Amino acid sequence: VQLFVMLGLAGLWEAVARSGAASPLVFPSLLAVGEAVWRSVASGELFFHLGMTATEIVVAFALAATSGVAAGLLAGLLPPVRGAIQPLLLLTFSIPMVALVPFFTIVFGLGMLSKVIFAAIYAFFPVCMNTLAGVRGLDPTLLPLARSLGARPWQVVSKFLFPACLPAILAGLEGGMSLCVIGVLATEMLASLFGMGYLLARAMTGIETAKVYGLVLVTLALAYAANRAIHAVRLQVRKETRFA
Amino acid sequence: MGRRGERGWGLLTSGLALTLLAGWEAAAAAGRLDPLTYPAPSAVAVAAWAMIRSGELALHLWPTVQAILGAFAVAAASGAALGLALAASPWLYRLAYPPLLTLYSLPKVTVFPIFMLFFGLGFTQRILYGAFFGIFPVLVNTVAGIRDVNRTLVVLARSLGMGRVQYWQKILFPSVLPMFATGLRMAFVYAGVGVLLSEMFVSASGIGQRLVSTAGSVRMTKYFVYVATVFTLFVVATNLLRWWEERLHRWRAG
Repeated sequence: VQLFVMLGLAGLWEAVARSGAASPLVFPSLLAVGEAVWRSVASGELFFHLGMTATEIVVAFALAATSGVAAGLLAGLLPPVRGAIQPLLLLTFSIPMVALVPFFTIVFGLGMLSKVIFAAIYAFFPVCMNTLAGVRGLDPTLLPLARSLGARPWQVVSKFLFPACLPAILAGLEGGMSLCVIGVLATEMLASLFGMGYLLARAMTGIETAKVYGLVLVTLALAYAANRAIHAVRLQVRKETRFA
Repeated sequence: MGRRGERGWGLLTSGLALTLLAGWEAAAAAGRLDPLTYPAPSAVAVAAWAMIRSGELALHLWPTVQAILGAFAVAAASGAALGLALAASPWLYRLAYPPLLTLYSLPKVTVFPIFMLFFGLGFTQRILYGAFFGIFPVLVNTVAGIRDVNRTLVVLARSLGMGRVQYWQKILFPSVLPMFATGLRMAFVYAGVGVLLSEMFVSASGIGQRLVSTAGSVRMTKYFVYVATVFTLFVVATNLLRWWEERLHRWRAG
């Protein structure tokens, strides 16, 4: 049904665009959009910038995931760390971090570094928050049990703590991935020399309407793919651990 | 650990923050930090005071506050209306809710150029773009709130022979309101981020525009004043909304 609705909407869009009722400056025909995307692909421009953005997202995500999980586990186990970090976590959810983007650009330049660092910090908080919640939600007898079985400290973490928190961690990673994508794209749109955000901003200032629509669709597809990928991992883990 | 203990650790955080600020100040005083990019906190405070006295801060703050409040109002009203419609009609829910959730999870920054093409550079665009950010939490929380209404209460209302108006007024509205308030608090932050982004991308006025232009100037002192202003604005507003929200939750429970 949803497919039909989408086809219907696309048809309606095309009809309005063709009828000349709306200016092609805001309402391009789908054909023109497709053509603009094709031109961008043919010149090699699209894949270059897509690759840059994807790389930034992956690196930022890796940084946010490792540091967020580590900090979350530490905060869950050690009350002083938790006490120090929890107000900060709550605070970051109510302040607009984007206001810091210009600062990151000034300090780390227009290249990849400013995007990766901003996106990693942006995404760190939900990962850390969910990991922390996962540790706090554990059965309090689990870790004493592990120790009484003679597990070494490292084994306690890798064999007991981490697997037990995994569902919460994965939930955090899903949120972190969204923020990574947002962080990278927003920074690129504000100040950059490459990437999908840069391409979008340039098409926007040039009022290349058809290209803007095409790029928005491609970028949303990239974000959707990133979301689906991490979601699929989460479902897979859930399925496997059920039988463990 | 009880609430008291957590509060004690909260003090530790404030202490850490103060130490950090003091360290920054000391490093700046010792000439270890580039004063153009990392101005001392005291220099920022002095600049802030001067900008308050001259009216410069208020001049740039006001359009942003207006746009955020406008976007927030549009998001709250349309999110509540759409949420009610979705919860009232099962087929509309099945048809429209999944795509809306997908849209919620996608990066809304990317759509900015389309808003600009449709609504130009002005105030309307900023309000609608902010509302586009803010509508989702209101919508999702309203739907969740309505679908979560205690079944016993619904049966009770029916057996008491309540009319539609009475049911809405006595059962539905009080049950949904706390969730709705949670949605509103998130909507404020989201709508505010939308407005700021729009100002940062293309605007001749507002804090967002100042953030970009002052970061690009040689001395970044003013930039830090604007960052501190924006953060304070958001923290005050969300704490007010949180206070209201907690009162509603208590009232619902008690």
